Amino acid sequence: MTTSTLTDSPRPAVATAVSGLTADAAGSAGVACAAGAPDAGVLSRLGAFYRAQSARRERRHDLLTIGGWSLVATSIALYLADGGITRFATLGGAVTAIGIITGLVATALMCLMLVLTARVPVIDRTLGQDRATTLHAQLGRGMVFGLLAHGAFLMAGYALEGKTTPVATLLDLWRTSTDFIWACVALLMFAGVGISSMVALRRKYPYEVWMGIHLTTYAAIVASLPHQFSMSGLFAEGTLARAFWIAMFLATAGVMLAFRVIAPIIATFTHRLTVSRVVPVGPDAVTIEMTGRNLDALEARGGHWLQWRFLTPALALQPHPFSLSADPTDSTLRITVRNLGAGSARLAALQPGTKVAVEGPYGMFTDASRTRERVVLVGAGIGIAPVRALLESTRFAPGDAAVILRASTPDELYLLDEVRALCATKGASLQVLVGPRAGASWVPRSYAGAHLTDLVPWATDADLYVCGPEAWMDAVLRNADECGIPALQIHDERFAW
Amino acid sequence: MTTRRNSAALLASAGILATGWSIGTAHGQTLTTTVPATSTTSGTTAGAASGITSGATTYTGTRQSDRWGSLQVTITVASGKITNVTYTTTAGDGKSLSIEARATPTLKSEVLAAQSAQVSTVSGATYTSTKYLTSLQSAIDQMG
Amino acid sequence: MTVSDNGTRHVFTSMGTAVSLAFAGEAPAGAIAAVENVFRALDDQFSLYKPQSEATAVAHGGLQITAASRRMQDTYALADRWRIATADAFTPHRPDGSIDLSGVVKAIAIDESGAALRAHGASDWCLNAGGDVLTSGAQADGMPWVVGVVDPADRGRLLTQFTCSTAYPAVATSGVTERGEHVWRQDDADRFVQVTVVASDIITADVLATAILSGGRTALDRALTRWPLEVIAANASGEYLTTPAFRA
Repeated sequence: MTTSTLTDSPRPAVATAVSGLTADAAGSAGVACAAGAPDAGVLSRLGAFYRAQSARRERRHDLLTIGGWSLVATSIALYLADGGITRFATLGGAVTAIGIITGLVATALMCLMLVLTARVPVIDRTLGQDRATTLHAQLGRGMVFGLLAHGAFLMAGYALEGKTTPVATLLDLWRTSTDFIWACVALLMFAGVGISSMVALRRKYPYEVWMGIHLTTYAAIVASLPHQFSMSGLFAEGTLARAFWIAMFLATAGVMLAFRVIAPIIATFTHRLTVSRVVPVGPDAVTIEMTGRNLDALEARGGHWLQWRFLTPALALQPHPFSLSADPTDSTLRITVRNLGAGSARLAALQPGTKVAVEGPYGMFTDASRTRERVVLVGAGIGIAPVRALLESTRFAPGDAAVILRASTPDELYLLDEVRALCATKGASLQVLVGPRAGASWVPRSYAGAHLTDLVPWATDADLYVCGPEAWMDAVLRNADECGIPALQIHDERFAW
Repeated sequence: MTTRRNSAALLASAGILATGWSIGTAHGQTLTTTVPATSTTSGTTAGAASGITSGATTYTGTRQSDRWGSLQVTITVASGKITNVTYTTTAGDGKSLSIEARATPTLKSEVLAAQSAQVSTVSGATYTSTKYLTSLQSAIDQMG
Repeated sequence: MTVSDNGTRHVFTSMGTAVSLAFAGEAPAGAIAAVENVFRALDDQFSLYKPQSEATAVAHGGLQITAASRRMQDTYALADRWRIATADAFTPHRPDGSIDLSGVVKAIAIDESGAALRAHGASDWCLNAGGDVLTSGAQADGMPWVVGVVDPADRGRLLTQFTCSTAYPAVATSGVTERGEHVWRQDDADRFVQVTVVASDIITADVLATAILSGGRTALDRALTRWPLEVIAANASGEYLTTPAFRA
């Protein structure tokens, strides 16, 4: 059992009073630990495996990025191939052409956005679903602006070409084409979704409001489809461009259907998850244990999160994203949840036998994102749960792993006993930092100024996993950056969305 | 890493745009009223020269498109004469029509000749009342 | 002002041009006067050459179309509907943006004259206002009215002719040679110099002749897909585009 970090790094004298727990961890010798020096052959194989895994992930990321940009470029290229460039000869034509191109780009972005939220396994395994969702939000801004530009430039361009006013052009089209009316409706809906998304993010609206907002987008997409095919010569019947555009929409819809609807339904019926036990953990948390069949097929591992729908009348409509708090077995899954809101409070009252519908697993807070042999796991508050699960499921040679737990009070050191036992068994060092928050620092005041590399000197050569409250995670990541830990080695799981 | 990835994506996109551009400029020819001796088809749509049936060749012209829909003219040529002209059009309401068009290029010698004796009135570009006096119409009007 | 009247043909001036009215037999009482009144009233209201006309006030005098007479507004609305239908090839606006309804007023005058003639019991007549023709019934000898088309290259000669029928009683020609370039071009690539359109009513024929002259080949193709027409269009190089009625 290695606890060498405690004696290696300089420790302020005042810290010993609060670090009673750490002394305890250092003192307990009753746990058998992995013997002797790490096996050099195993080490290098593990290292090579993780490096190869990382390289494959980078390649996937490259391909996905190129694919995404290519889709947008293709949408413009279709217009160019149709001779669109000749329109730039006149001012009116150029403005119109810009209007058309912004529409094409916005639509391509829209399809990319949908695919990003479709929980496609390859995207989840490459970007991580939380990064994909963030990217979705960023593209959303671009898309809404693109659509507004599309409308504005087209009206202006048509007005210039027809020697009339944009308002007259608008009324023209309104009177002659119902497809155009629907397109206007769609534009307004998209703008509405964009605005309310920005507002909702600020105010943390309940999940139901988000659902409503996003269902509106589906309606808007459907409303915007007809005018794309009837009002532009680009997608007229018989053209290759039309075939491409239809294929793009069908592929997007297919992907969404497959991974957001069909896969979860199949998972739910195949695995038949049922709540088996609800155990209080600490004063304000519960561990919910579930049993099921063929859970190996889910391919879930410690660190993964899933979308859980407990099928009781009160909870059935609210899916909750929670991380596993232990490595799954073929027949059991476990989550540990803190009572933070009305929804979580009801979870404590769950009865054994309750059926559970599940979507996932998602996230790259797992062994699959490891890039090298050594690993540092940092968790705070209920973020300790996925850290504990990852600790169990990820691989390392004794001495190559360090765990740091942070909490304001000892009550918030969830699953501490389990973490301690795993560290002892697997040969990971454990440091527990307890104390009230000290401003924007990631450590308590007693550790003021401490860097990650002070606590774990080889941290720059390790994978760093961080999970906890938002603001604290930002502080940890800032510190990791200051320590010079490369971005590729940093893995964080955020649940703000 | 990220810069390399983004550069690769940028390059791929530039390549795609360049391809589109060159396709667009290569297919910029419009259908002319005289049939070329060497058959080259022009058109930005999927159809190239198609339907070589019993000596007839079909040429597809560029698609004229705007917010009212699009229009494409296809002509069939047999033995150097235009035998068929078809319009394919999509109107703003999404309906697509294929209509046997009837305006074909005609040599003056093929235009229906006028029989002055039969003509009761003359249609032409609007003339001023002064010009009327020396016009054909006035001659006919005088004769009654 | 009457130019000539030899019993079966009556010619008067209006709207800056000459209007010829021919009857198969005797002109019914009041019919000629009715037609002249139609033309005069419309000319008084819509002529841009009359400083007192309402059209002048709208075009140059600051009278808003929304404050104009009901007739003016309806006529503008009609012209605007045609603008939409011809995809801007026909427009009631000059390049400077001012409203000019002369493109449609003459046809309206012919159309209303036809109604007036029928109201006066005339069923066989041929009305030609400045080159736009509307016919009804047949000539005195029972033969249908035949409308010649002027040769744009030589206005003393006929290019071709059209035999009117109940389905196709209206013939309108638009060109650049006679009154100068008063049709404002939209598409320079396929410049027609003269377009003759035969349609089921005179307003359609007149508007489309103007639209095709201005809009070129595209406008011609579009028009043929949307209205039953016969067309002969001559371009500057002496080439023609014709529908079957104008082919030998």
